[in-house]
Amino acid sequence: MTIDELREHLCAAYPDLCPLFSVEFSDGVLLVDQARLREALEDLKEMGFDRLGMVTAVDFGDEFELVYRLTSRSMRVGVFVKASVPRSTACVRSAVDLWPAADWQEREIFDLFGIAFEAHPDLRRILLTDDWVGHPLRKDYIDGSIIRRPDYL
Amino acid sequence: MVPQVREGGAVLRGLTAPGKGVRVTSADSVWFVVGLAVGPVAFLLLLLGINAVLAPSRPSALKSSPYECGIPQAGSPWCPVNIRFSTVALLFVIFDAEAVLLFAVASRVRGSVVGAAEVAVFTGFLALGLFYAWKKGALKWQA
Amino acid sequence: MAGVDEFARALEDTPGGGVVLTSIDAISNWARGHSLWIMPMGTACCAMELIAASFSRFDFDRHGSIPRPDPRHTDVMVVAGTITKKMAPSVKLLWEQMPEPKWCVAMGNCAVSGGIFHHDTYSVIRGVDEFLPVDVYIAGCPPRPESLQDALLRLREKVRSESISPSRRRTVEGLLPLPGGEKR
Repeated sequence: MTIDELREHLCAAYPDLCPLFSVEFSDGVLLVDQARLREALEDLKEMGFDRLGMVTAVDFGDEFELVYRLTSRSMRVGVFVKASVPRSTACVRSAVDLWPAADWQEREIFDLFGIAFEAHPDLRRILLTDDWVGHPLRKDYIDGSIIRRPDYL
Repeated sequence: MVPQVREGGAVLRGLTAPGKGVRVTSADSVWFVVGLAVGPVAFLLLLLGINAVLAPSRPSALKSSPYECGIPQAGSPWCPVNIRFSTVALLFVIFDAEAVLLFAVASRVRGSVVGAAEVAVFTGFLALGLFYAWKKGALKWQA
Repeated sequence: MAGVDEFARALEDTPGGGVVLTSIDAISNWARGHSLWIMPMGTACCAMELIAASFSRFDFDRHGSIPRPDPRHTDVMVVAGTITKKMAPSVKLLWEQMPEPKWCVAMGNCAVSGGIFHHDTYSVIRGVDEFLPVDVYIAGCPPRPESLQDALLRLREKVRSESISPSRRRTVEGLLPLPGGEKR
């Protein structure tokens, strides 16, 4: 399946999201919102996207954006799935039952961003020490020990 | 003139009388053996002595703590050990002593039938003991 | 507290003991300085240069140094790499487990001052001299293996200035001011 066939299939499946599907560098990017994220991931898994390359998050100041990288070994095509998650209710259904690789990746997101994942088997901090307070990669993280880079550097 | 006997490249000078063999009681070889026994011990004591005098020994609780790549020790290294280790060690000691005795006796009884019979009786007693241990399950690893 | 302190004091008190003391100092400093075994506390990229310095092209075995994994076998801890707040207690414990006489070399910008992680990070210790007494600083990101060898040779000079008697210890004047501007 090439990227264009994928685009057609996804446009047929998600007609309201079709304009948001872009092709950048011959990789598809599918933007969904949080309510349809789980459905989109399940559909893609069924279509043959059997490898989850990464799950990560971006903090845009007023909202988070979760980014999933899915590739298909048999079809030789890849797609990014991006979902906006509001800051106030930062809670998403976990993808561990679809791809076990999401286990530690979601723990890392929880550790550094504070986004909780429902139905995750073991959600706890993975990189920082267990008694760390706060989630450092948020833009509003305050820590007395951080030295800001001065302007002249 | 004192005859000099060459043996294995070394020259033995000894007190001889005409007709008798050479007796190896020269003072040099005695000193050699004494040196061989005392020398390494003295060297070791010298090194340990220098260390005891010059080493800055400042022990502390943290310094003597067990090394586990920088993290606090996880669990105690004392744990129950299989009893078979001591059983095997015991059997080894007994049969090792028997083997030493056999070596000692072997050169004397070579060629004589009576000697062979005596050694056979000795070995038979010990074989009886081995058979007993075997039947009691001492040679099996699992208790 | 240690036997050597009393021995040194006894030597200083006896007339003519100074000659013995300086001879002992010379011999033991020579022996220690020419056989500085290294504890390679390599956490990041500088560890690669540390390893390169121990291999055949640059070879610090010819200076008498070999890397040892056990802190009890070593004289020098070479901190090569970034030390994070999570790693710091382990480094401190390993430093405590090294027997005296011991020295510390901060290799690379991260161990000297936090390096490129000095600003805007939440997890990096800005310079390993926040909790270890560093004797030689090596700048570089990463420093070349020849810099590490130079540091070992300067450490050898520093070792030459030590003594078993506290009153005879000299301080070695550094070439550059220390991080923070003080001159030692």
